[in-house]
Amino acid sequence: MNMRLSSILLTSVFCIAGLSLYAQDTGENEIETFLEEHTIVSCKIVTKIVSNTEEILWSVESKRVTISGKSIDVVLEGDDITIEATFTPYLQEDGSIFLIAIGEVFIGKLGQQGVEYASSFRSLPVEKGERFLFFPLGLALDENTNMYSIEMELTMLPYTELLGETE
Amino acid sequence: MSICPNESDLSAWIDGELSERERSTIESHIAHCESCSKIIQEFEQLRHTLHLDIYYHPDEPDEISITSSDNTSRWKVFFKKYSQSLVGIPAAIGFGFILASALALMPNQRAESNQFTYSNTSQSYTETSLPQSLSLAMRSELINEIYSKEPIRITIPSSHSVNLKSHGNPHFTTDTELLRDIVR
Repeated sequence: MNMRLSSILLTSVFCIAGLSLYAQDTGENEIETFLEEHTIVSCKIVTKIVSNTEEILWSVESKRVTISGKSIDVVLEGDDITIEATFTPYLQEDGSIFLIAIGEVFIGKLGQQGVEYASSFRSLPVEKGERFLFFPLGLALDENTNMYSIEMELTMLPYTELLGETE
Repeated sequence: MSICPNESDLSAWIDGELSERERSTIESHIAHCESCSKIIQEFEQLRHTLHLDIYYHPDEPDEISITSSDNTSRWKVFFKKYSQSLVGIPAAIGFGFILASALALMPNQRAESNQFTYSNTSQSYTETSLPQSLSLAMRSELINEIYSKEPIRITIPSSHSVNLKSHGNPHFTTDTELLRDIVR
């Protein structure tokens, strides 16, 4: 009986070992396959609040990695303002990036009446490392008014190049 | 006189593999059957030659006594006693090995199906491979980040929010375009 129990235990151990081996192997293989098939793009997004005198009042940097065709979503929230931006890079064979960007701006308290809405869409080729800029509140600033503007600056680099920079 | 049991039954009787009823039937038969007693003697001699000095004791149905101190015989006895259970061990090893091998082969098939899944977005590049120094954990983290559905959330400080007013439509541009516009 003890031997039978041992056999059952041994079978279980082998099953668990087999499953863990499978899990590890699956994980490794899937990761390797994935990484071989896709070029990973690293996106650096710098969000700034700029005064009408071009002074940077506030800035925050975010990083995210993605692959061709997979969007990066950014949600910028203030007291009475919500900005949603979606950047989708499509990697071209020549190494350039074709970028599709969608921006939506909600001014006012969401869920309440009187919310102003504006949106924009743009698709254009960008070079690796070239700065892509998004001005959710518009581009032209009147220097005579005390208004701030938001700038979102997006830079894309293949992840391998970024690793080379850091090394 | 009852009909003589066949040799396999007699062998089973020696091995103690029979039920109480079968055992008593055979025992009552061999008590007055010379030919069967002779067969049994032959079996016992054969067992002795093979160093399997096992004798069945009807009083202790679940026990088998070892009358030889020979280690080889002990192992044989042990093996005989637990032969049914011992079959389970190699079977378990075999099963585990087959399971592991079969499952290890599966990811390749899955990888092939992934190729199909990602075919609409993937491109062929020469610079795709990541350095080997990048650990598996980091690679795994990268993939998790890529497939993260969470947007990047940034909160604008209240002190700056108040002065944010729309002064035009949302606008996208690049450095190059911006410079061109300024030059114009």
